[in-house]
Amino acid sequence: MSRDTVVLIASVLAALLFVFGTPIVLCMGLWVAIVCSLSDILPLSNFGQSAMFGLKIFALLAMPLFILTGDLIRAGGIAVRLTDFARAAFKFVPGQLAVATTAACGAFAAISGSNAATAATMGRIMIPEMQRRGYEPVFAAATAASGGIVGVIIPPSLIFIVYGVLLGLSPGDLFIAGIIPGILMVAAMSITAAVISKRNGWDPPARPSLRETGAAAWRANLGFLGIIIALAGIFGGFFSPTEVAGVVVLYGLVAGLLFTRELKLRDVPAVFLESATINGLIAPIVGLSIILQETFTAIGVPALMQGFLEPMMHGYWPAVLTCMALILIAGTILESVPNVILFAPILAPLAAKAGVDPIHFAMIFCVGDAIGFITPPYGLNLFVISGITNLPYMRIAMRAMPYLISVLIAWVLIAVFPQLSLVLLRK
Amino acid sequence: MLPLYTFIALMIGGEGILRYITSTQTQWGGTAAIQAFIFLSWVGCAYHVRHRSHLSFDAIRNRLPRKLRLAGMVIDDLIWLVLSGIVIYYSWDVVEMHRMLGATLEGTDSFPQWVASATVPLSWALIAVRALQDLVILLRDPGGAPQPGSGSP
Repeated sequence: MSRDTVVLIASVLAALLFVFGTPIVLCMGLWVAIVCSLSDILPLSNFGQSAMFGLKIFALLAMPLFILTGDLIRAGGIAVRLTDFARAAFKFVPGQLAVATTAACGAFAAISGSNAATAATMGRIMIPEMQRRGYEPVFAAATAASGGIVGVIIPPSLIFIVYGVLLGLSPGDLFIAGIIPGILMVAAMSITAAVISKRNGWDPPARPSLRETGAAAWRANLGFLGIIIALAGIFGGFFSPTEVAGVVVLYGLVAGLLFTRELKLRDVPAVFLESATINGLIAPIVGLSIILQETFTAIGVPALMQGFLEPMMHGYWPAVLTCMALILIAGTILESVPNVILFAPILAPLAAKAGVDPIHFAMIFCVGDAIGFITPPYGLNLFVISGITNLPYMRIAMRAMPYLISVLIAWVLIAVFPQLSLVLLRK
Repeated sequence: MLPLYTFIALMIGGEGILRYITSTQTQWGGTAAIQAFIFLSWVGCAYHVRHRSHLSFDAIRNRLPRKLRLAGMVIDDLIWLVLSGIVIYYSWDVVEMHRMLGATLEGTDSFPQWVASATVPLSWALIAVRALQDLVILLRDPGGAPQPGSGSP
């Protein structure tokens, strides 16, 4: 059988299996196994050994740690205090709880660098509360799923670490560049939440109280301290981005056990196990994406794609728009980290050639990648929230459409105005 | 999974703080944490095999007639078994090579690398056992098998 025939058969089979519900990690593994065993592209031993070497990247250690941070901050009661503050601060807007959810996602994202942890934590806290206040359950679920996407844009961020390591950019610079785009996305989703809530008469605005807001802010001081440790640790050069994930885990543990005392020593194993199960969902996909990328390279996919894309990318705007379209499509079918591993090395050089600043392009790539968390068929945040609420995946996806449109608008603004990404870097 | 996760958190967080305070850090901390992460990830993978909760697009499968749905689950289990066989076979080669060469874990003087490497075939053996377990339960009692997405989260 020719090489092309094998690749075609493997691709059709993997696509069919994916559509009919076979886990994505299996589809990826099967594709590589078929291509390696039936052609001379790569030896099958490469696939076998990818399980050993695919995850052997120091930067990836931030992934389990950011997930654990999220769970510890929640179990220690710090996440609730942050959401209480957000609720008090946004009492004056229509849909106060929905807006508070998106804002609290932003605050939480400044401690944890994982979208899944942000969506899961905020979902567990805010969805029941929103339902009690009369919000439609699917809308509450869609709000938490959408708010969670800023988990990887507001620093610290797992995607920025992987992107930086892969393309030789400073993760610290990417973290700084992500601040304004992250805030812009939170603002876009907050406006959407307020408009939808007002239209449906959910949670009308109330008289704000400065005293109440101040008291809530004081109660959330451990959350703010966590944010300061994470950000000052990175920007002050005290810790590497991966180390900061570990430091914040220890902070979350100590703060929950000793300060809020809401985390009991006997509960710690359950929290760790919960995080481990989420890591067990994402890490295998990341591990297999490395061998997938190697196989793509061996087949010549990057060269083929570059050859195909280059004529479309003459000039700044054609390059940006073509990349955005590709990132959006890739985000609908793949997880964020594999997307970075597979496509960033192909697209970033083409964009740089067209005159796009590498840091600005990193923001365009990563924001587009993050939007993929709420786009079916493969939207990780939708899966996470569907798992928590037992609501149908596609119903949440449909209800998240207004949020999707709002972050798409924010994404376009981020692409059109490079200053949004570069101004804090004084570039 | 608990000791592995605790080890990773203590190593990375503790090392960061240690370096900040004393300007020194262990040579083996990062390498050992990576090995623990690899082991943790594949053991976590096995957990989701058992609960059929790996991420999948199941909107169509859930609407299929029961027999076709069960056939899909059998296919999933069989693919897990095939992939496990490949990974165990070839990763064991690496373990053997490390043992033959007497390689030590990076940053350590005497910790055998093959012990760390052996966690990969070991955890994939667990994945195979879980897939087999699922398959047996499914074939014995098709109604009693865990449905896709029944595990956490």
